[in-house]
Amino acid sequence: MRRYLRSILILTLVVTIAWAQETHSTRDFTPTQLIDQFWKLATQGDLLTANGWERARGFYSHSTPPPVSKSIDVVSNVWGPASQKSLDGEIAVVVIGFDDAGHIDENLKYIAPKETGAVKTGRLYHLVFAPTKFETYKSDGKNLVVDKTIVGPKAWQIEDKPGAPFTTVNSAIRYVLEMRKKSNDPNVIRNADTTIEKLLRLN
Amino acid sequence: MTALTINGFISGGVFYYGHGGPFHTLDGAGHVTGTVSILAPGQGTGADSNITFQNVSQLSAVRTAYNGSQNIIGPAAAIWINGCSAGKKIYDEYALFETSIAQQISNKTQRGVYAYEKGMYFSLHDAASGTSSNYTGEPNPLPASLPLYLVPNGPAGNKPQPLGFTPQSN
Repeated sequence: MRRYLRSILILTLVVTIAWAQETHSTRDFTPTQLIDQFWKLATQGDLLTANGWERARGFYSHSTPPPVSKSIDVVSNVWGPASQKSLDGEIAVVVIGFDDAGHIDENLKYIAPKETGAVKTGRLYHLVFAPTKFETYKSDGKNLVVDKTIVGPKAWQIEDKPGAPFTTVNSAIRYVLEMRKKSNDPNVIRNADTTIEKLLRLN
Repeated sequence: MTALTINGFISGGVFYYGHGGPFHTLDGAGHVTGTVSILAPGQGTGADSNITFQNVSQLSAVRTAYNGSQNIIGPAAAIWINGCSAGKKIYDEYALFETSIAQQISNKTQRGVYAYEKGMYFSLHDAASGTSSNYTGEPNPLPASLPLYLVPNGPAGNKPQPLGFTPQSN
């Protein structure tokens, strides 16, 4: 009986801590703080992994499955801070400045950014102040499936569809090194070496 | 700002040398969703490192300064912008109408502004005597010596003139 009670207590604590992290992570942010925080996750490389993508889901107002493609966008190490373009009640538009640093395809080949004629660039985010939602899961015998959707307090959330996963130049170098280590394909390894050389010239 | 405020009264004019041009806003897929006409005196990525329709009203302080106790820029002084495309009229995503940052600076400062529609590059010669039409016609790298001139893209011997902007209401 004591072991059963202890298990219940631990489970309750885990759920409480998880809920607290979820709500603390986005609930108190202003629109610009939310986007700055989202880009911090991207800088850490969180958008490139399944676990990281799971953390990023809380920033969106809708369900965002992890991207299928392994290609990634690369942005400058220096970005932001985000600025508010407009605010109308519970709808906000935020812009965050960055320099496009190119793209890495599924074979770890680096593709330089296209010349656009722009002196600077920024990514636009449409946000909504709406109740947060998070899902609990159960097993259907084979896979985890959504059990319940729990509605929480209102918070600013991103309404846009997530684009390709992206990270900064420095985290992209780590990503390429890790992917190179996992590959046995000589073409991919060669691409990775060239890509790292090119990324090291960027900032 | 200190260049404007610590050198006494400016009766003739102000020259800006620096970045200018279109700021592209992109969606998550990298598609351009809009364009903003900017001057970029700072190389940073934050909004306040640029002069845009959103913050250009801060330059209205020039009028207060002239009329107030600290005279800075006289009413007949003009502003010359030597930066890419500052005079190019575009549909500005922040303004939500067609304008250029040069026009907006003129509106807010109530001073005449001169700016180019075209891009600009550093040259060994001034615009009147230049032999190049763009930066590819200049040494690369440029020598670390003077004089150097910031001149507009355009045929040698027939460089475009800056456009003049006078104060208007938006």
